Amino acid sequence: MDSVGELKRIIEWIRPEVCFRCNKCVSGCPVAKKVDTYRPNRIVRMAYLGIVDELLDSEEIWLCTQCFTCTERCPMDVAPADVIIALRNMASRMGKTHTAWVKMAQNIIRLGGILPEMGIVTWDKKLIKRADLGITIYKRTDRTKLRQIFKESGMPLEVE
Amino acid sequence: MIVSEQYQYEISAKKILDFFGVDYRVCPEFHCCGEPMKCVNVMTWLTMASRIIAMAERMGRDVLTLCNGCYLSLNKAKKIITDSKRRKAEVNRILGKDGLEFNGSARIRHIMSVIAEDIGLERIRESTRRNLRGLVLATHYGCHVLRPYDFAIDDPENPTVLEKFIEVLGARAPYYPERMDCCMILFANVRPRDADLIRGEKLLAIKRRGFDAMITICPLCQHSYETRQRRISKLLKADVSIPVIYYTQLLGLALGMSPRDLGLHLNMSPTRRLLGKLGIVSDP
Repeated sequence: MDSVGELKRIIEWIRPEVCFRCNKCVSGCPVAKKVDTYRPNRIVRMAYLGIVDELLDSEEIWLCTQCFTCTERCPMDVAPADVIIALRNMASRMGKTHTAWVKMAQNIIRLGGILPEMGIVTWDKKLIKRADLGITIYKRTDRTKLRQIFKESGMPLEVE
Repeated sequence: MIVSEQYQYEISAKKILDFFGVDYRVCPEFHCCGEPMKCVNVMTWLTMASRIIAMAERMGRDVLTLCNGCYLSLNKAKKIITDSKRRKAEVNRILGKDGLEFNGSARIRHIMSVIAEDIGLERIRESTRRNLRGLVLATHYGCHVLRPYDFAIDDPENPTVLEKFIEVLGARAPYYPERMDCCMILFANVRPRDADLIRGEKLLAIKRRGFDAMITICPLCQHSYETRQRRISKLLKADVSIPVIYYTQLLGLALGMSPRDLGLHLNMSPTRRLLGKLGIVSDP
Protein backbone atom coordinates (compact mmCIF):
# COMPACT_ATOMS: atom_id res chain seq x y z
CA MET A 1 0.00 0.00 0.00
CA ASP A 2 1.34 3.40 -0.88
CA SER A 3 0.68 4.66 2.60
CA VAL A 4 3.06 7.58 2.29
CA GLY A 5 1.32 8.79 -0.84
CA GLU A 6 -2.07 8.52 0.77
CA LEU A 7 -0.93 10.27 3.94
CA LYS A 8 0.61 13.08 1.91
CA ARG A 9 -2.70 13.60 0.17
CA ILE A 10 -4.15 14.37 3.60
CA ILE A 11 -1.24 16.52 4.83
CA GLU A 12 1.15 17.42 2.06
CA TRP A 13 4.20 18.65 4.05
CA ILE A 14 4.97 15.48 6.07
CA ARG A 15 8.27 13.72 5.23
CA PRO A 16 8.31 10.24 6.82
CA GLU A 17 10.74 9.04 4.13
CA VAL A 18 13.70 11.12 5.42
CA CYS A 19 13.62 10.14 9.10
CA PHE A 20 17.01 8.73 10.14
CA ARG A 21 16.13 7.82 13.73
CA CYS A 22 18.06 10.53 15.55
CA ASN A 23 15.54 10.22 18.42
CA LYS A 24 15.29 13.97 19.06
CA CYS A 25 11.51 13.56 18.81
CA VAL A 26 11.54 10.78 21.41
CA SER A 27 13.68 12.79 23.82
CA GLY A 28 11.10 15.57 24.05
CA CYS A 29 7.90 13.53 23.84
CA PRO A 30 5.83 13.66 27.08
CA VAL A 31 3.81 10.59 26.04
CA ALA A 32 6.98 8.56 25.35
CA LYS A 33 8.13 9.45 28.86
CA LYS A 34 5.05 7.83 30.36
CA VAL A 35 4.19 5.07 27.88
CA ASP A 36 7.15 2.74 27.30
CA THR A 37 6.03 1.44 23.92
CA TYR A 38 5.12 4.80 22.40
CA ARG A 39 7.74 6.40 20.15
CA PRO A 40 6.91 9.07 17.57
CA ASN A 41 9.59 7.82 15.19
CA ARG A 42 8.29 4.27 15.42
CA ILE A 43 4.94 5.46 14.13
CA VAL A 44 6.69 7.46 11.39
CA ARG A 45 8.77 4.43 10.32
CA MET A 46 5.71 2.15 10.23
CA ALA A 47 3.82 4.71 8.14
CA TYR A 48 6.77 4.91 5.74
CA LEU A 49 7.05 1.12 5.42
CA GLY A 50 3.33 0.76 4.75
CA ILE A 51 2.66 -1.14 8.00
CA VAL A 52 -0.40 0.96 8.71
CA ASP A 53 -3.20 -1.53 9.30
CA GLU A 54 -2.16 -2.21 12.86
CA LEU A 55 -1.65 1.53 13.47
CA LEU A 56 -5.11 2.40 12.20
CA ASP A 57 -6.67 -0.10 14.59
CA SER A 58 -4.56 0.95 17.54
CA GLU A 59 -5.06 3.34 20.40
CA GLU A 60 -1.44 4.35 19.80
CA ILE A 61 -2.06 6.95 17.12
CA TRP A 62 -4.57 8.66 19.43
CA LEU A 63 -2.09 9.06 22.31
CA CYS A 64 -0.15 11.98 20.83
CA THR A 65 -0.98 15.14 22.75
CA GLN A 66 0.02 17.43 19.85
CA CYS A 67 2.56 19.38 21.88
CA PHE A 68 4.74 19.73 18.72
CA THR A 69 8.02 19.22 20.58
CA CYS A 70 8.90 16.47 18.08
CA THR A 71 8.05 18.62 15.08
CA GLU A 72 10.02 21.55 16.47
CA ARG A 73 13.15 19.51 17.24
CA CYS A 74 13.21 17.29 14.12
CA PRO A 75 16.27 18.16 12.00
CA MET A 76 14.68 16.77 8.83
CA ASP A 77 11.23 18.41 8.84
CA VAL A 78 9.48 15.06 9.13
CA ALA A 79 6.66 16.60 11.21
CA PRO A 80 5.79 13.48 13.27
CA ALA A 81 2.83 15.18 14.93
CA ASP A 82 1.33 15.81 11.50
CA VAL A 83 2.08 12.23 10.34
CA ILE A 84 -0.06 11.19 13.30
CA ILE A 85 -2.84 13.59 12.32
CA ALA A 86 -2.83 12.14 8.79
CA LEU A 87 -3.06 8.62 10.27
CA ARG A 88 -5.97 9.72 12.47
CA ASN A 89 -7.75 11.13 9.42
CA MET A 90 -7.15 7.85 7.59
CA ALA A 91 -8.54 5.84 10.51
CA SER A 92 -11.59 8.10 10.64
CA ARG A 93 -12.31 7.47 6.97
CA MET A 94 -12.46 3.79 7.86
CA GLY A 95 -14.91 4.44 10.66
CA LYS A 96 -12.27 4.07 13.36
CA THR A 97 -12.43 7.51 14.98
CA HIS A 98 -11.62 7.31 18.69
CA THR A 99 -14.80 7.62 20.80
CA ALA A 100 -13.60 10.77 22.55
CA TRP A 101 -13.45 12.58 19.21
CA VAL A 102 -16.84 11.27 18.14
CA LYS A 103 -18.20 12.80 21.35
CA MET A 104 -16.45 16.10 20.63
CA ALA A 105 -17.92 16.22 17.14
CA GLN A 106 -21.41 15.59 18.55
CA ASN A 107 -20.94 18.36 21.12
CA ILE A 108 -19.76 20.81 18.49
CA ILE A 109 -22.94 20.27 16.48
CA ARG A 110 -25.29 20.14 19.46
CA LEU A 111 -23.70 22.74 21.71
CA GLY A 112 -21.41 24.82 19.51
CA GLY A 113 -18.29 23.72 21.40
CA ILE A 114 -16.57 20.57 22.64
CA LEU A 115 -17.87 20.80 26.19
CA PRO A 116 -21.24 21.79 27.65
CA GLU A 117 -21.62 25.05 29.56
CA MET A 118 -20.96 24.09 33.15
CA GLY A 119 -22.00 25.64 36.39
CA ILE A 120 -19.42 26.41 39.04
CA VAL A 121 -19.81 26.24 42.81
CA THR A 122 -18.09 29.35 44.15
CA TRP A 123 -16.47 30.14 47.50
CA ASP A 124 -19.77 31.12 49.02
CA LYS A 125 -21.34 27.84 47.96
CA LYS A 126 -23.45 29.37 45.19
CA LEU A 127 -23.94 27.64 41.86
CA ILE A 128 -23.12 30.10 39.11
CA LYS A 129 -23.85 29.55 35.45
CA ARG A 130 -22.45 31.44 32.49
CA ALA A 131 -25.76 33.22 32.08
CA ASP A 132 -25.45 34.65 35.62
CA LEU A 133 -22.15 36.33 34.87
CA GLY A 134 -23.25 38.83 32.24
CA ILE A 135 -20.75 37.62 29.67
CA THR A 136 -21.40 36.77 26.04
CA ILE A 137 -23.96 34.11 25.32
CA TYR A 138 -22.98 32.40 22.09
CA LYS A 139 -25.62 32.11 19.42
CA ARG A 140 -26.95 28.64 18.95
CA THR A 141 -28.09 29.28 15.36
CA ASP A 142 -24.53 28.57 14.27
CA ARG A 143 -25.24 24.91 14.81
CA THR A 144 -26.93 24.59 11.43
CA LYS A 145 -23.99 26.36 9.80
CA LEU A 146 -21.56 23.96 11.49
CA ARG A 147 -23.65 21.01 10.38
CA GLN A 148 -23.44 22.31 6.84
CA ILE A 149 -19.66 22.76 7.14
CA PHE A 150 -19.26 19.20 8.44
CA LYS A 151 -21.13 17.85 5.44
CA GLU A 152 -19.56 20.07 2.77
CA SER A 153 -16.00 19.52 4.01
CA GLY A 154 -16.30 15.75 3.81
CA MET A 155 -16.56 14.91 7.50
CA PRO A 156 -16.57 11.10 7.68
CA LEU A 157 -18.56 10.97 10.92
CA GLU A 158 -22.34 10.78 10.97
CA VAL A 159 -23.42 13.38 13.51
CA GLU A 160 -27.06 14.20 14.17
CA MET B 1 -15.01 30.71 22.85
CA ILE B 2 -13.76 29.54 26.15
CA VAL B 3 -13.66 26.01 27.50
CA SER B 4 -16.82 25.82 29.56
CA GLU B 5 -16.38 26.76 33.22
CA GLN B 6 -13.34 28.94 32.49
CA TYR B 7 -15.49 32.05 32.58
CA GLN B 8 -13.01 33.91 34.80
CA TYR B 9 -10.54 34.12 31.92
CA GLU B 10 -12.99 36.00 29.74
CA ILE B 11 -14.00 38.24 32.65
CA SER B 12 -10.44 39.12 33.68
CA ALA B 13 -9.19 39.54 30.11
CA LYS B 14 -11.94 42.05 29.36
CA LYS B 15 -11.10 43.96 32.53
CA ILE B 16 -7.47 44.26 31.41
CA LEU B 17 -8.33 45.23 27.83
CA ASP B 18 -10.84 47.83 29.05
CA PHE B 19 -8.36 49.27 31.55
CA PHE B 20 -5.74 49.85 28.88
CA GLY B 21 -8.24 51.01 26.26
CA VAL B 22 -7.60 48.22 23.76
CA ASP B 23 -10.19 48.28 20.99
CA TYR B 24 -11.91 44.89 20.83
CA ARG B 25 -15.30 43.49 20.01
CA VAL B 26 -16.93 40.36 21.44
CA CYS B 27 -18.57 38.20 18.76
CA PRO B 28 -21.50 35.99 19.76
CA GLU B 29 -21.42 34.41 16.29
CA PHE B 30 -17.97 32.88 16.89
CA HIS B 31 -17.83 29.11 17.28
CA CYS B 32 -15.24 26.40 17.90
CA CYS B 33 -11.94 27.02 16.05
CA GLY B 34 -12.07 23.50 14.66
CA GLU B 35 -8.84 22.19 16.25
CA PRO B 36 -10.51 19.11 17.79
CA MET B 37 -11.80 18.13 14.34
CA LYS B 38 -8.33 18.32 12.79
CA CYS B 39 -7.82 14.75 14.03
CA VAL B 40 -10.92 13.52 12.22
CA ASN B 41 -10.92 15.50 8.96
CA VAL B 42 -8.38 18.20 8.11
CA MET B 43 -10.71 19.96 5.66
CA THR B 44 -13.39 20.34 8.33
CA TRP B 45 -10.89 21.98 10.68
CA LEU B 46 -9.65 24.31 7.95
CA THR B 47 -13.20 25.34 7.05
CA MET B 48 -14.21 26.01 10.65
CA ALA B 49 -11.03 27.99 11.32
CA SER B 50 -11.26 30.02 8.12
CA ARG B 51 -14.88 30.84 8.92
CA ILE B 52 -13.78 32.59 12.11
CA ILE B 53 -11.05 34.43 10.21
CA ALA B 54 -13.46 35.39 7.41
CA MET B 55 -15.93 36.81 9.95
CA ALA B 56 -13.16 38.93 11.48
CA GLU B 57 -12.05 40.11 8.04
CA ARG B 58 -15.62 41.13 7.27
CA MET B 59 -15.44 43.38 10.36
CA GLY B 60 -12.07 44.73 9.27
CA ARG B 61 -10.45 43.40 12.43
CA ASP B 62 -7.79 40.95 13.59
CA VAL B 63 -8.69 37.93 15.71
CA LEU B 64 -7.85 37.89 19.42
CA THR B 65 -7.66 34.49 21.07
CA LEU B 66 -7.43 33.80 24.79
CA CYS B 67 -6.66 30.13 24.13
CA ASN B 68 -3.34 28.64 22.98
CA GLY B 69 -5.15 25.91 21.04
CA CYS B 70 -7.24 28.41 19.11
CA TYR B 71 -4.14 30.57 18.56
CA LEU B 72 -2.24 27.80 16.81
CA SER B 73 -5.32 26.40 15.07
CA LEU B 74 -6.23 29.71 13.44
CA ASN B 75 -2.64 30.66 12.60
CA LYS B 76 -1.81 27.29 11.09
CA ALA B 77 -5.09 27.11 9.15
CA LYS B 78 -4.49 30.59 7.79
CA LYS B 79 -1.01 29.65 6.57
CA ILE B 80 -2.11 26.33 5.05
CA ILE B 81 -5.01 27.89 3.17
CA THR B 82 -3.02 30.91 2.03
CA ASP B 83 -0.21 28.66 0.72
CA SER B 84 -2.50 26.33 -1.23
CA LYS B 85 -4.64 27.49 -4.15
CA ARG B 86 -6.56 24.24 -4.01
CA ARG B 87 -7.40 24.51 -0.33
CA LYS B 88 -8.28 28.19 -0.57
CA ALA B 89 -10.67 27.54 -3.46
CA GLU B 90 -12.30 24.67 -1.59
CA VAL B 91 -12.66 26.59 1.66
CA ASN B 92 -14.11 29.64 -0.09
CA ARG B 93 -16.52 27.45 -2.02
CA ILE B 94 -18.00 26.30 1.28
CA LEU B 95 -17.82 29.68 3.02
CA GLY B 96 -19.38 31.34 -0.01
CA LYS B 97 -22.63 29.51 0.64
CA ASP B 98 -22.90 31.64 3.77
CA GLY B 99 -21.79 34.85 2.10
CA LEU B 100 -18.32 34.72 3.67
CA GLU B 101 -14.88 34.83 2.09
CA PHE B 102 -11.41 34.08 3.49
CA ASN B 103 -8.68 36.34 2.13
CA GLY B 104 -5.95 35.87 4.77
CA SER B 105 -5.52 39.51 5.77
CA ALA B 106 -6.53 39.24 9.44
CA ARG B 107 -3.75 38.70 11.99
CA ILE B 108 -4.28 36.16 14.73
CA ARG B 109 -3.20 37.54 18.13
CA HIS B 110 -2.91 35.85 21.50
CA ILE B 111 -3.82 37.94 24.54
CA MET B 112 -0.28 37.53 25.92
CA SER B 113 1.27 39.15 22.86
CA VAL B 114 -1.36 41.91 22.92
CA ILE B 115 -0.30 42.57 26.52
CA ALA B 116 3.40 42.32 25.66
CA GLU B 117 3.39 44.29 22.39
CA ASP B 118 0.35 46.56 22.35
CA ILE B 119 0.28 47.44 26.05
CA GLY B 120 3.90 46.89 27.05
CA LEU B 121 6.01 46.87 30.21
CA GLU B 122 6.17 50.62 30.73
CA ARG B 123 2.42 51.23 30.77
CA ILE B 124 1.98 48.32 33.14
CA ARG B 125 4.75 49.55 35.43
CA GLU B 126 3.15 53.00 35.58
CA SER B 127 -0.29 51.56 36.29
CA THR B 128 0.44 49.09 39.11
CA ARG B 129 -1.25 50.02 42.37
CA ARG B 130 -0.50 46.89 44.36
CA ASN B 131 3.07 45.60 44.35
CA LEU B 132 3.22 41.80 44.31
CA ARG B 133 6.59 41.70 46.10
CA GLY B 134 7.14 38.49 47.99
CA LEU B 135 5.23 36.27 45.58
CA VAL B 136 7.14 33.46 43.87
CA LEU B 137 5.27 32.26 40.81
CA ALA B 138 5.60 29.25 38.48
CA THR B 139 5.03 30.16 34.85
CA HIS B 140 3.20 27.75 32.57
CA TYR B 141 3.19 28.83 28.92
CA GLY B 142 1.56 25.78 27.44
CA CYS B 143 2.66 24.35 24.10
CA HIS B 144 0.82 25.93 21.22
CA VAL B 145 2.00 29.50 21.74
CA LEU B 146 5.62 28.30 21.49
CA ARG B 147 5.62 25.48 18.91
CA PRO B 148 5.85 25.31 15.94
CA TYR B 149 8.28 28.21 15.80
CA ASP B 150 6.52 29.73 12.77
CA PHE B 151 3.78 31.09 14.99
CA ALA B 152 5.55 31.29 18.35
CA ILE B 153 5.05 34.30 20.60
CA ASP B 154 8.48 33.65 22.15
CA ASP B 155 11.54 31.31 22.03
CA PRO B 156 10.27 27.69 22.07
CA GLU B 157 13.09 26.31 24.21
CA ASN B 158 13.55 29.24 26.57
CA PRO B 159 10.70 31.75 26.57
CA THR B 160 10.90 34.76 28.88
CA VAL B 161 7.92 37.01 28.16
CA LEU B 162 5.75 35.73 31.02
CA GLU B 163 8.66 36.04 33.47
CA LYS B 164 9.28 39.64 32.40
CA PHE B 165 5.63 40.54 32.74
CA ILE B 166 5.45 38.98 36.19
CA GLU B 167 8.65 40.65 37.41
CA VAL B 168 7.38 44.08 36.35
CA LEU B 169 4.58 43.55 38.91
CA GLY B 170 7.11 43.01 41.70
CA ALA B 171 6.84 39.24 41.98
CA ARG B 172 9.51 36.68 41.13
CA ALA B 173 9.24 33.98 38.47
CA PRO B 174 12.31 31.75 38.81
CA TYR B 175 13.18 28.89 36.47
CA TYR B 176 12.12 25.37 37.44
CA PRO B 177 12.91 22.12 35.56
CA GLU B 178 9.26 21.19 34.95
CA ARG B 179 8.49 24.58 33.41
CA MET B 180 8.01 23.36 29.83
CA ASP B 181 5.95 20.27 30.74
CA CYS B 182 2.78 19.90 28.67
CA CYS B 183 -0.65 19.87 30.36
CA MET B 184 -1.55 16.69 28.38
CA ILE B 185 -5.06 17.84 27.56
CA LEU B 186 -5.41 15.77 24.38
CA PHE B 187 -3.73 12.73 25.91
CA ALA B 188 -6.28 12.94 28.71
CA ASN B 189 -9.03 12.04 26.23
CA VAL B 190 -7.48 8.59 25.84
CA ARG B 191 -5.63 7.96 29.11
CA PRO B 192 -7.23 10.19 31.77
CA ARG B 193 -5.52 8.52 34.70
CA ASP B 194 -2.03 8.72 33.18
CA ALA B 195 -2.67 12.33 32.22
CA ASP B 196 -3.58 13.13 35.82
CA LEU B 197 -0.42 11.39 37.04
CA ILE B 198 1.70 13.52 34.72
CA ARG B 199 -0.10 16.71 35.73
CA GLY B 200 0.22 15.74 39.37
CA GLU B 201 3.98 15.40 39.04
CA LYS B 202 4.23 18.97 37.82
CA LEU B 203 1.89 20.33 40.51
CA LEU B 204 3.72 18.45 43.25
CA ALA B 205 7.09 19.65 42.00
CA ILE B 206 5.85 23.25 41.96
CA LYS B 207 4.48 22.90 45.46
CA ARG B 208 7.64 21.28 46.82
CA ARG B 209 9.83 23.95 45.28
CA GLY B 210 7.97 26.51 47.35
CA PHE B 211 6.05 28.41 44.68
CA ASP B 212 2.99 30.40 45.77
CA ALA B 213 0.99 29.83 42.61
CA MET B 214 1.05 28.71 38.99
CA ILE B 215 0.33 31.23 36.23
CA THR B 216 -1.34 30.15 32.99
CA ILE B 217 -2.29 31.74 29.68
CA CYS B 218 -4.55 29.06 28.24
CA PRO B 219 -7.96 27.77 29.44
CA LEU B 220 -7.09 24.18 28.57
CA CYS B 221 -3.91 24.30 30.66
CA GLN B 222 -5.81 26.02 33.47
CA HIS B 223 -8.52 23.37 33.28
CA SER B 224 -5.89 20.62 33.42
CA TYR B 225 -4.09 21.91 36.48
CA GLU B 226 -6.82 23.57 38.45
CA THR B 227 -10.09 21.67 38.17
CA ARG B 228 -8.78 18.24 39.14
CA GLN B 229 -6.52 18.92 42.13
CA ARG B 230 -8.56 16.88 44.58
CA ARG B 231 -8.74 13.91 42.23
CA ILE B 232 -5.01 14.16 41.47
CA SER B 233 -4.15 14.39 45.17
CA LYS B 234 -6.00 11.14 45.79
CA LEU B 235 -4.26 9.48 42.86
CA LEU B 236 -0.77 10.52 43.96
CA LYS B 237 -1.55 10.10 47.65
CA ALA B 238 -0.07 13.55 48.17
CA ASP B 239 -1.60 17.00 48.50
CA VAL B 240 -1.12 18.88 45.24
CA SER B 241 -3.42 21.77 46.04
CA ILE B 242 -1.92 25.05 44.87
CA PRO B 243 -3.45 28.25 43.51
CA VAL B 244 -3.52 28.35 39.69
CA ILE B 245 -4.58 31.64 38.13
CA TYR B 246 -4.50 33.31 34.75
CA TYR B 247 -1.93 36.01 34.02
CA THR B 248 -4.82 38.42 33.36
CA GLN B 249 -6.07 37.78 36.89
CA LEU B 250 -2.60 38.39 38.35
CA LEU B 251 -2.21 41.57 36.36
CA GLY B 252 -5.65 42.73 37.49
CA LEU B 253 -4.68 42.23 41.13
CA ALA B 254 -1.54 44.32 40.58
CA LEU B 255 -3.66 47.03 38.98
CA GLY B 256 -5.73 47.18 42.16
CA MET B 257 -8.84 45.40 40.91
CA SER B 258 -10.97 43.34 43.27
CA PRO B 259 -10.84 39.52 43.29
CA ARG B 260 -14.51 39.28 42.42
CA ASP B 261 -14.12 41.59 39.40
CA LEU B 262 -11.39 39.28 38.14
CA GLY B 263 -13.48 36.16 38.59
CA LEU B 264 -11.20 34.78 41.31
CA HIS B 265 -14.27 33.39 43.08
CA LEU B 266 -14.78 31.17 40.02
CA ASN B 267 -11.35 29.53 40.17
CA MET B 268 -11.36 26.02 41.54
CA SER B 269 -7.95 26.04 43.17
CA PRO B 270 -7.26 27.56 46.63
CA THR B 271 -6.87 31.15 45.39
CA ARG B 272 -7.74 32.61 48.80
CA ARG B 273 -4.36 31.31 49.95
CA LEU B 274 -2.73 33.55 47.38
CA LEU B 275 -4.91 36.53 48.21
CA GLY B 276 -4.06 36.06 51.87
CA LYS B 277 -0.37 36.42 51.03
CA LEU B 278 -1.15 39.73 49.39
CA GLY B 279 -3.15 40.86 52.38
CA ILE B 280 -6.37 40.87 50.40
CA VAL B 281 -9.42 39.74 52.31
CA SER B 282 -11.60 37.92 49.83
CA ASP B 283 -14.96 39.60 49.73
CA PRO B 284 -18.05 37.39 49.84
